Amino acid sequence: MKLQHYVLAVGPSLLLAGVCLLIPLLATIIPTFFTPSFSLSSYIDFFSDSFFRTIFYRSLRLSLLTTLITIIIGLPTSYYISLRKEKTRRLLLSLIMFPLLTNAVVRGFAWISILGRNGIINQFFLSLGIIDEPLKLLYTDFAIVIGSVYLFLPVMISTLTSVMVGIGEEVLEASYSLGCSPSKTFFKIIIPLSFSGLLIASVLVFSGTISAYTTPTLLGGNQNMMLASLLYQQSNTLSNWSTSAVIAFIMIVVSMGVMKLFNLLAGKVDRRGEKDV
Amino acid sequence: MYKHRFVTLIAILTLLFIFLPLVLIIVTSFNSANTISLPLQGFSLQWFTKVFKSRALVQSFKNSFLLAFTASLVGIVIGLVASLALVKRPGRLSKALLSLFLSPSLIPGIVIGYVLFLFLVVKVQLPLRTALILGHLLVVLPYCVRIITASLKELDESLEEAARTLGCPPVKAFVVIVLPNLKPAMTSAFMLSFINSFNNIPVSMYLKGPGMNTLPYAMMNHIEYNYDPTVSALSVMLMGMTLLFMVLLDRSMTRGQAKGVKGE
Repeated sequence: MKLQHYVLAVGPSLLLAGVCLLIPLLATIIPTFFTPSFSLSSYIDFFSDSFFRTIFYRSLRLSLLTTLITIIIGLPTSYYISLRKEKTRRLLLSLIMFPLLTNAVVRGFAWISILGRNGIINQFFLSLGIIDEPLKLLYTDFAIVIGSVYLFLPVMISTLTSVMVGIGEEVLEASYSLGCSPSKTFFKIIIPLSFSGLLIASVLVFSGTISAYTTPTLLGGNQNMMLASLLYQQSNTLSNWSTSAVIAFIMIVVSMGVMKLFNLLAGKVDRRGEKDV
Repeated sequence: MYKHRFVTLIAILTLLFIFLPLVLIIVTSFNSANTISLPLQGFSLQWFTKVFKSRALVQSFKNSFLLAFTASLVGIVIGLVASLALVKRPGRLSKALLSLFLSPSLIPGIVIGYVLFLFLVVKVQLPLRTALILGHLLVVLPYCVRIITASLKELDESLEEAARTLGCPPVKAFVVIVLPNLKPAMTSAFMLSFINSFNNIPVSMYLKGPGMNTLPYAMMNHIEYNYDPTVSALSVMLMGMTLLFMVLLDRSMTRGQAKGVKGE
């Protein structure tokens, strides 16, 4: 391919990604380091504000919790699905992927109807007389975690299942015939062999949760903000441009940083595998 | 099949966890009660008619549909030519460009919306409508480029070469040989782009102007002020749309696989 054809072909995408994303991004973020000469004071200010710090730590904590829960639920479920026959497996996987393709508002709305003050859970407990007053389930950290797990579980399960299917039945047969119990096989064979998939999925879940806007806003309310809702509040409601830019950069650093970190980890794991062979 | 009672139990609970909320929405959308509640009171289609009576929802559905369609179509075209260039001329530059084109999927959506608003709307003073389309193009670009480059790399180059040696001009070889083989990939790319653009909130939130609200955001507004099954009914219709997309996607993928087998 001639150079001029190459330029012509990548041109539109380059214009789009360069002019509409890279330049705006740099134009927004670079000024946060100059006040007016180079300094980190905007970031120091951000982290010395206890309101902002609470939101930052909440975002980290809830994203980590969400990731852990999706791992704990996702591993056995994916194992179960990976052991089905191909037809059943495909059906189960499409069923699990279905919510992923529906709108986040729909999914958030479902959990509002379940957890809300007049929601299904409270209606149920009140009618049984177990509680006298509705429980406060919605607009809590708990609701955010449930909603986020619901949002990202399909990502975890589909990634893990495809890795586990690749392990192959011979490996399992070998393990069983050598006297390993099913649970021991699960912990000693399945989990280590699906570790790379586990890392990839964890990154997707973690960075997805920490940058999500809709779910934490619908289920957490104004009292339990996460970084994305804070960014929207600071920029749109308060027109506080400098703080918004700081939050934007922090969000990029956190989600990309986690990605890099896990990539390094995954690289180590892979290399360890090669050495073993 | 090995028996893992514990694993089976967790898997069933997980499937219930994933499906019960959706089932709840479907069931209550046909319920005559004014709130989302169980037990059911009676069958009614009033919430569905209410969706069509709400101008805000109908108009924003049209907006979102048109926006997602435009963005996906343009995204496929620019993604296709870029992918061709990247795959045909591998090297450092192409690698760097590929990560640039994929980067919108790594940056939090809300950050994209915010910087676009700040730069394109406030600084450059582009009309909101243009900025909204550009923002959605950014949302779909990574899906188009990732899927089409992957498919191009798998495509047997000797096919095109054979056509060329047999005297087929390059453009015709591309249209007759390469393009049909890319059809499944382009269909998947289009569907995924459409779904992601249609469901996007963070980018639209910053770039929607008066009279051009998108559906997800209109739904969010609706939930804030009303708590009735209208949103359930709308959700059911959207689920139907998603289901249709999934079936189409699955068909195009299996047809693609079948073609691959025949090609060997």
